[in-house]
Amino acid sequence: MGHRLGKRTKSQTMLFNSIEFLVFFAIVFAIYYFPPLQKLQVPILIIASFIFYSWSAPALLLILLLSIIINATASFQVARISDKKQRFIWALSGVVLNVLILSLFKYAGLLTTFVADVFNIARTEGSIAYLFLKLPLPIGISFYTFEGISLIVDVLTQKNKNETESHAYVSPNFSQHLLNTSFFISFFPNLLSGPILKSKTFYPQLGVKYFKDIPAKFIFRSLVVGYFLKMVIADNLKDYTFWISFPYYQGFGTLTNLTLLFGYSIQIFADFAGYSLIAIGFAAALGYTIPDNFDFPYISRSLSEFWRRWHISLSTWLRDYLYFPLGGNRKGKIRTYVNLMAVMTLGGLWHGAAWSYAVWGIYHGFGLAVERFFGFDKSKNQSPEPTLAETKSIWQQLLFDSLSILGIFSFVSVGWLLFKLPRFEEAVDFAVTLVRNYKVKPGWTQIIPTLIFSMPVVIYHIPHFPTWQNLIKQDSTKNGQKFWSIYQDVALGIMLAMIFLNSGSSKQFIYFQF
Amino acid sequence: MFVKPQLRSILRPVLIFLFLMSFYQVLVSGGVVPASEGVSLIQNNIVKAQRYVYQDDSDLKMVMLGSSLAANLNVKDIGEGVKSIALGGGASQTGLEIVKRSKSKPPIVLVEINDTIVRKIDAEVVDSLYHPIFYWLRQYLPMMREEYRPISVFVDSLKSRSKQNLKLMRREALDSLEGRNLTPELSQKAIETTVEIQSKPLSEQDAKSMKLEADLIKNQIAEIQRNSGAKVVLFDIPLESRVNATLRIKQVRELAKKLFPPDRFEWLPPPKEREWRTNDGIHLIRSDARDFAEFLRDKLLGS
Repeated sequence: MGHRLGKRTKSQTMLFNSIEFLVFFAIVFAIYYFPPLQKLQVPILIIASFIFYSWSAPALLLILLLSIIINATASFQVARISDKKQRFIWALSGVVLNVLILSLFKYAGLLTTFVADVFNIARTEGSIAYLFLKLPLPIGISFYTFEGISLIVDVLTQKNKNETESHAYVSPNFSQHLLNTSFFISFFPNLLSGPILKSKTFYPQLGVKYFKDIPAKFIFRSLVVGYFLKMVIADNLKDYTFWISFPYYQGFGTLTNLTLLFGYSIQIFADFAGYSLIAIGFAAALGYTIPDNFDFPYISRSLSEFWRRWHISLSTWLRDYLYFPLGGNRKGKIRTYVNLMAVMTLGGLWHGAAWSYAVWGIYHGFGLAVERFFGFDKSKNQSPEPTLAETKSIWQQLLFDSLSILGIFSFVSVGWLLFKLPRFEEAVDFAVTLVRNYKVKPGWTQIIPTLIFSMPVVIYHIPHFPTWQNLIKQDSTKNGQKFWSIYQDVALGIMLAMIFLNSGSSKQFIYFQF
Repeated sequence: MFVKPQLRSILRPVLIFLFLMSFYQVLVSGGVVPASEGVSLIQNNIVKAQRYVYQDDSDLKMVMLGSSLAANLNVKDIGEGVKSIALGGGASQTGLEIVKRSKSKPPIVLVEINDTIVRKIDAEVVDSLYHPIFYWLRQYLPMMREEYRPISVFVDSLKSRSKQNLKLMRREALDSLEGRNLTPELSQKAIETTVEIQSKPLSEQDAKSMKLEADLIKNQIAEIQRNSGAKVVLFDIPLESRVNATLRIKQVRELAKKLFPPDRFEWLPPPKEREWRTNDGIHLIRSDARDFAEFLRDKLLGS
C-alpha cells in the first residue's frame, strides 16, 4: 500500500545523503581552496550552487535567477537612492515581487482549488485552473524568498538609520552587488531547506577563505551528529511512523498510536535538525558561519521558549520582519494576541499550501496567546541559572520543569499530527481512533523500535535540561570537563559507526516539501 | 599549520569508530550476531531482496514475486529451495528487476499479477541494492547488510528473551503487515471498506497504469527467460468471496488476462473453489495462506 502523493511532486534533487553530493562537494572543495583560484572563490561557489540547484530540473534555475535579479536590483536601489519615499517604493516593490513569486508557485494551486470549488469552475486540461494546478513547486523557494526579503528590509532599515554614509555591505558597483547577492541567495549548503540566512550576518563574512582556518572539529561534529540524526534516527523512524496514515492507524491501539505520534515528533526534529547541522557543517568547511537552527527544542518549558529553540531562523525571521512591523506587543494586549495569531497563521501557511498548515499555525498562535494571557511565558523566559531561593528547592524545580516540558512536548506533538495527516478530517479521525481503540492490544513491534530509535534524541536533549545544566555547572572541575570530552568523543565514534551500520532507507528530507 | 592540531581533535572519535566497525565485523563473520528478518515492513523487504542477491543459489527451485498479498505466504510452506521477493507495499516489477539483474538463475519465477502492479517499480530499492559501491561493500563486509543492523539484531534479541514473547512478537510482526492485529469488529469493518472500494468500476487511470506496467513486466519476463531460461508462471491470490465478487476485481482480472493472454503466458490454474478467509478482504488468514502455499507446492514443485 503505497504512500499517497500530493498533487504536485518535486523532482529529485542532489541530497546531502547521496554519493553524488559527496563527490560534488569534494570537487568543489578542492577547486575552492586551490591557491591560484582563491580570488575566484565566490564565483566558484555561485557556479557550484547553480549546478547543485539545477541538478535534475534545470528549468527551475530560472526562478532562482529571477529572485536574485529582483533582490539585487531592489536592494541596490534602496541603498543608492537618497529620497526616502522613492527608497521605500523600491523596497516595497521588491518585497511585493518576492511575495508574488512565492504565492504563484506555492499557493496558486491551493487558491485555484478553493476558487474552483466555490464557483464550480472546471479544472479540465487546457483551462487556466489546470495550468495553475500544474505549476511546479521549485524546491527551496520558501527559504530563498525569505532571504531575499530580509536583504531588502535590512538594507532599507540600515539606510534609514544612516542616510548619508554609503551602505555597509551593498557595494557601490552593481555588478559586484549582483555577484554578492547571487552568492547570498544561492549558497548551496542552505539553499534547499535553510537555515534562512540574514544579509546583515552573511555579507560581512564575504572574503577570501583559507584551508588552514577550517574548524575541523566543529565540522566533524556537525556532520556526524547531523547525518546520525537524519540517516539513523529520522530515516528509521519513518518506517514506523508511516503507519500514521489513513487508514492504517485505525487498526492500532491507543498506546501504539500514541507511541507512533511520539516517534513522529522525534522524527521531524531529527530530520530537520539533522539537515540543518549538515548544512552548517558544509558551510563551515567553506569558511562560512550560518546560524544554528535548533537549540534542543524539546526541553522547552513554555511555547514561547519552544519557538525560540525550534527552527530559529524562521521564528526570528517572522519576529523581525512580520511580528515587530505589525506592532509586536507594543500596542496593547488585544493587538498582541491578534499579532501572534496572524504571524503564526502565516508561519503555518509558509510550511505548505494546505489549510491544515494554517490550522496548525492558528493552533500555535492560540497557544502562544493563551500562554501570554496567563503569564506562563514570562517565568520561563529567564536564564536557566537558579536564584538562591530556587536552589533550595531543586527537586521541586525539577518536577515543575519536567511537567512543563512534558506539557509543551505533548502540545507540540499533537500539532505535528497536521503535518503527518494534512487532511484535517484524517487528523480528527486519528484523535477519535485514540479514544475508540483503547481495547486493541499494544503493537510491540511498532512500539519497541520506535522507542529505541527515539532514545538517542531524548539523551541528546538531557544534558541541556535546565535543572541538569545547573548541576553540571556546580561540577565544572577539570575532571568533569575531561569526562565530558571523553563522553563526547565516544558518542561521536558510536554515531559514526551507526551511520554506516544502521542508516534507514529514505533519502527524502521532510522539510523539502516546504 | 592546520593539519596536526585539527586532525588530532577528531582522531579519538575516528579511532573509536574504526574499533567498533572492526569488532562488529568480527562478531558477524564469527556467527555471533544472529541475522534479523528486519523489524519493519521496509526492512523486511530489503532483507529479502539482499538475501536473494547474495544467496548461494545451488538449491534454488523457485522465486516468488509480488506484493504483500504474496508476502503473506510462508515460502517454507511451499517447499525447500523456494525464495520470496514479494514485497509488502510493493509490486512484482521490483522483484522482476532484482531477479533480472541478479546472477542467480531460478528454474521457476512465480509472478503475482493483479492491480498491485500499478504501484510501479521501487527504483530506490533496486538502485541501492545494485549500487556499485554498496553492492561490493555488502558482498565482502556482511555487517553492512540489512539483516545485521545492530538495532534490528537487538530488537530480535529482546524478543527471544522468552519463547512466548518471541512467538507473540513474530505473530504481531506479520499481523501488522496483513491487518491481523485487527479485532474481529475492525476486521469486519476493513472487509466492508475493501468491498466498498472494489465495488466501484476500475478507473481509466488505473487501467491505463496497468497497461503501461504490463508492458514493462512483459519486457522483464522476456529478458529473464532469455538470460536464464526460467519458466515464468503468473498467478493471483484468492480473495474473500465478497471481495472476489466485486465489479472492480472482476474488471482487473479480465484486464490482466487480456494484457497477459493465456496462450502467450503461463498462468497458474486457479485452486478448487472454496471459501477463502481473510483479515481485511485481501490478505489470507494464516491457515488459508498455508493451504494456498501447499496448493502452489503441488502445482509447481510436484509434491
